[in-house]
Amino acid sequence: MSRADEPYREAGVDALDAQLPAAETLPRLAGLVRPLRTRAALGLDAAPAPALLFVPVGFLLGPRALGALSEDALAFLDVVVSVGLAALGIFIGLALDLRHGGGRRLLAAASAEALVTLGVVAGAMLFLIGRWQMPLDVSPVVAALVLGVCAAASSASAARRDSDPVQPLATRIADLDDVLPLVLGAYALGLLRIPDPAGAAWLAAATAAAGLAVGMAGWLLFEEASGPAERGVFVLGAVALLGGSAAYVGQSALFAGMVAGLAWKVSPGRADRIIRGDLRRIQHPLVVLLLLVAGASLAPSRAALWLFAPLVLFRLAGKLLGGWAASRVFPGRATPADLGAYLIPPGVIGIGFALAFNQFDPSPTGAAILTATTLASLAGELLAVVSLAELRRS
Amino acid sequence: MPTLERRTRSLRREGRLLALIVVVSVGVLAVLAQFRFPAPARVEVVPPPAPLERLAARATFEELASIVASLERRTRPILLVLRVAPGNGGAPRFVPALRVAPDLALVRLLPGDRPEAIVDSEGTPVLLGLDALQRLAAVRIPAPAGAVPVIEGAILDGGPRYVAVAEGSPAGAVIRPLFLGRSATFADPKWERPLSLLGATLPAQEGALVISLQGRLLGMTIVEQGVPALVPHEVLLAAARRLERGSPDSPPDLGIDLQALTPALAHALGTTTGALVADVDARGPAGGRLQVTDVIEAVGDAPVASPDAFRVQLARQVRGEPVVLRIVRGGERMDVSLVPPPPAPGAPPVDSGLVLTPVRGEGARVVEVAAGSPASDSGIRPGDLVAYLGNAASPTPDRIRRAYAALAHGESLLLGIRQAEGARVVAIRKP
Repeated sequence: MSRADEPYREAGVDALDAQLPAAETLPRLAGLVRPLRTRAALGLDAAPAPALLFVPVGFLLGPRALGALSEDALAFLDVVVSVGLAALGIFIGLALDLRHGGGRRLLAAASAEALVTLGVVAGAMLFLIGRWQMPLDVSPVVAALVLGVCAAASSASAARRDSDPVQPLATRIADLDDVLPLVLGAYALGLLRIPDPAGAAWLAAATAAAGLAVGMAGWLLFEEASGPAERGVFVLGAVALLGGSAAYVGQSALFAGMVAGLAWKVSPGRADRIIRGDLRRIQHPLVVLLLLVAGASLAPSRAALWLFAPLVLFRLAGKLLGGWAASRVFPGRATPADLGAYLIPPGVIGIGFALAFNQFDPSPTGAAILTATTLASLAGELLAVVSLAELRRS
Repeated sequence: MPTLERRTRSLRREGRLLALIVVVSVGVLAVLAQFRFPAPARVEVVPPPAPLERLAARATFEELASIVASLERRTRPILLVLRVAPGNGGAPRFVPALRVAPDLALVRLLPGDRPEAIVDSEGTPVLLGLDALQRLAAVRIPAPAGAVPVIEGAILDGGPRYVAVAEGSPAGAVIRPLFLGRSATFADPKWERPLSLLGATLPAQEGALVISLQGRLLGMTIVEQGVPALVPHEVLLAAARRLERGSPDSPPDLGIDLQALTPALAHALGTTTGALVADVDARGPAGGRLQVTDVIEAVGDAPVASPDAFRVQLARQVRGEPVVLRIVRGGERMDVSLVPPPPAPGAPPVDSGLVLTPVRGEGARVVEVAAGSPASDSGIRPGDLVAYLGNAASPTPDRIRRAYAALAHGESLLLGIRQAEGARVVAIRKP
């Protein structure tokens, strides 16, 4: 086994991005056309940058364009969005493998990268919001933290074994760099509901406890199911419970799902394989739904425009600096610039967290953050196509 | 050795790249920090339903408490409470104020009220302008260090619903949920837009701010024409902008008494609408220009349909400049130009707090007594009939108002009133 394959050996196959086609198979701008393949376009198959297709489609269907997805319809879809976010969180939790040293090192590298990106973006946005004297409906600290959390997530495509040796490492780091931001994101959402820092931490802890409880219940139920149909009901019930309980307390379903996923991962038996297998059937439709809802919820405004440009710029800077931080954990395995370039694609986690924030803060500020994050994700995907093309050429 | 050199070169290249990223980021940050976010336009739209609202069960008290807690946090920068010394020297009142700009607040005050302090805040409020008819005042307040969100407005629909109401207290603004039943609108000449009825009794402190559960300003509670009502938010914001420039505190005294037109009078005088001149003070600005039985149809281009509407339009004219009245005299229409007296220097005029309506041949009926006003201390109540002004029988509302305005500070107005219990004399002292 080559050194390039070590991350797979150390931490298992990537859970979220494993089905994505390898980036190096895409010649230049072919990544933009790839989502148009029939199955991917229907949300039944993986696409390398689904946001580029489904967010504009969602906007066209939304209340500010054709009106097929009205405000009322979007309100009814809130529940489905919560369940979808819980499912994505479960995948993140399942990708966490802390039993081996390699997995812990990957988590450390991913967390370092995420922390640097989050720090750069949140710090820059906090500074700019204060200097601009931008009126917000929430505390500037919460707004900056949420923008940092949304910016910290990455999604690198899975690699073929004979491809660029940096890519497998980048893929695993991209998959694990959601963990720390989701913890901090839960704290930010807690601050939204309880302005007291201790109260916010308590609320985040309560959400984690709820996720753990659902995880334990699922572990007891899944393997005792009498057949696939009953097991499917248990799985869907567990996911719905995670999404619903998080929405009820005004917390991130991503975080609750991540805790439950981690519980299933570390628990004995095959609960993790059961839930992974069952959820894979609905994974892509849920991602498509989230992106359509995010597109339909776009509310172009002056505040969104002001937040968008620095978010793109400082996320890019944060990812490149974060790539340097992550490369310190694996010296000699990858150059910081290459690693940073692979981490530029934002994926859907950032958009998902912005959607959750907008659910609990339906003010103009919440809409501006969702809009800026979604547009910055689209810009990030485009930047990634260009930067990876340059990387392959060099 | 070559490997070491290559690695060293690579490290140098990476170092330069990192330094470049940091330098460019700091540069971009410095450039972006030079801009200022423009003041957002006020959008007057009814907000969409909150997420999960359609799926939620009917609001329980716990959910309402949670919403109110969230509203308290979100509206903290824009809701203030002013400690106000009443003009009659009574105990201070705590009235809610709406921050409409970083250094400007709108509050409901009575003429003569003096804002003394802002609860839980440094600095002294300064009264910029007070509309004696609408009893709204613009107050200069210290601007906070950070940015202040601009509250957006929404229109109160007519259906039953929960709203939040912000009232003043010594501890600051207190927000509580309030259930509003079905509402209707009615017009009042003092206000540019129709007011919304708030039921039979005022469900909150007068001057309280009503906010939707989504955090949009709906308006302010008042009592108008003897009934509780809501002033729409756009009227409040327009009043703040107007009063910031120092609008007149009360309409100038032209030396005329007016009465409402009845159908019989309108027919006899050859008109359909307007305010009928019932008396003219020969020494006043209207002396020799207006006559009893003239009907004032418009002030400038603004039509007037009643004596109250006339006073509202008159108050909005620029003080010291001629006012053109369109009148009907003997069936003919003509324009009469009058020059109102300039405002008296010094303290703003103080009114008695009485809202009166004429009763032909008997005097003036008390429609409203403003809380904390000089009249409220005298024992006079809504429904009383003012039968005597001093020893003059059957005074008109304008005559009583002018007599009070002519008093020196510390002097009292003697009124003979008829109540359900019988006749009595009361004194209204001008502070």
